[in-house]
Amino acid sequence: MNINFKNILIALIEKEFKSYLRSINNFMNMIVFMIAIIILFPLTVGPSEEKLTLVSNAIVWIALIVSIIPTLDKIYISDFKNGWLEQYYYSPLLLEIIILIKCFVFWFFLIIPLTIFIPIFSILLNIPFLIIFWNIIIFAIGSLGFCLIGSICSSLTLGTKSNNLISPLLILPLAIPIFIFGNGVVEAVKSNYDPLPNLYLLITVCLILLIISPLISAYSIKIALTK
Amino acid sequence: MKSRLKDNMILKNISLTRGLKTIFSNLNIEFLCPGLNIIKGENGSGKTSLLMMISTLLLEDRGTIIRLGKLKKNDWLNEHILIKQNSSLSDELTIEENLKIWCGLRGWDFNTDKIEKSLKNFGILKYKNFLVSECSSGIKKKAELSKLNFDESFKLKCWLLDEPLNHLDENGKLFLKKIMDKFINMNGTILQTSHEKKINHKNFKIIKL
Repeated sequence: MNINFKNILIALIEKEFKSYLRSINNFMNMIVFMIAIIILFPLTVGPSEEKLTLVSNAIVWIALIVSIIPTLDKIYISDFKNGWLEQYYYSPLLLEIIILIKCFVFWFFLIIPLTIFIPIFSILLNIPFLIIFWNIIIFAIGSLGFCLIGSICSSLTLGTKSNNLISPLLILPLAIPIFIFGNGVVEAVKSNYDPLPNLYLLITVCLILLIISPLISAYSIKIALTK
Repeated sequence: MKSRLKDNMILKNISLTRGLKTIFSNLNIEFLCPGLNIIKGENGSGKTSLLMMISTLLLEDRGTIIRLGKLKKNDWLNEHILIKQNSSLSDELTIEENLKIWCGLRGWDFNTDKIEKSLKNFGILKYKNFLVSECSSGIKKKAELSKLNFDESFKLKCWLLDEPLNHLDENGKLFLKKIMDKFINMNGTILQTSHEKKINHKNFKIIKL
C-alpha cells in the first residue's frame, strides 16, 4: 500500500493547530496568570525603584515560567485519554518524529506567542531595551528546551493518577541548566561581558534535549500504551 | 492477494496478566483466515484484552502469537485496524476533521469526497461539521466505523472490531454487515467481539473465552 509521509505531516500539524485553536482558553489562562504575577509583584516589593530594578528581570522570567509549567504536563494527556496516542503508535511514521513535531507545534503555537508579551511587561517594569532584546532571544530558545523537558515529564506521568503533583517536581530540576545559562546571558549583558558563551551553552542544552527527549518520550508512551 | 490465503493467525500457550489479575493462561486459538471470527464471552472474560494483545497494545507474558504469517511488528501495525468500543475521536474536532486526520496519520489520501462518501454510506453526512462533543453515541460509533469504509481499509489484512454493534441502529448494522462481507470476500480476516445471539454472516467461527 502506498504510504504518503507528506500526508502524515500535514495531518499531524493540522490536528495540533486545530486542537490548540479550539482550546484557546488554555492560552488565555497563561496570559492572565502572567499578568497577575507582573502586577502583584511590584505591589508586594513596594514603591522603591531601586528594589524593582534589581528584581524586574527575574519577575518577567518567573511569570513566564510559572505560567508555562502547568501546561507542559498536558502535552499528551488529552491525546492519551481520547485514543489519539494509539493512532500515533499505529502511524507508519516513527513515534519519535511525531513527538518532535508535536513539541515544535506546541512551542510554536502556544509558547512563541507569549514572547510578544515580554516587551510589554518589560517596559512596564522599566527594563532596558538591550536586556529586553536578549530576554526575547533567550526565552525563544529556552522555551523550546522547556517544551522538550515537558514532553519527557508528560509522557512519564501518563499512566499515573496524580500526575499534577509529579510533573512540576520532575520539570524543575531538569530545567535548572536552562535557568542558569539563560540568566548568565542577561548578567553578562548587564556587566558588559560577552553574552555569547552562555548563549552557546543554552543552545547546547536545547540540542541535547532535542535528541534525548523524543527517544525517552516515545519509550514512555509505548510503555503507557502497552501496560 | 493470493498470498493472503496462506496467512494464518494462531495464539499458542498465551498467558496474560493485568495487575494482579490473570486474564488468560495457556490460551490456544486458531483463527479462521480469511473469514469472520466472533469472540464471545462473559463480561470481564478478556475479549477486549485479546484484541488489544493481537493489536500489540498489550504485551503477552508468555506464549507466541502468529499474526497473519509472522508479519514484522511494524508491518502488522500498518496491516490492520483496531476499532475500540469507546470512541477514539477528538472532542475538539468535527467528525470530518477527525476522519481526515486519521487517514492522514495512516499515510492515506484524505480528500473531502472520500470522507463524505464514507459518511454518506453510514447515513451521517449531515453531521460531518458537528464537533464530536456535540454528537450522540450512535453517531460517534458510525463515524468511528466509517474508517472501515475507505478503499485503503479494504486492502488491509485484518480488522479488529471491539463490540462494533453497540449503539448502532438497524441501518447501521446492515451497512456494517455489508462492508464486513465485502472485506471477507476480498480475503480479509475479521476478529469481532460480540454479545449478539443472532449472527447474519455465512462463513464464521465462534471462539468462546
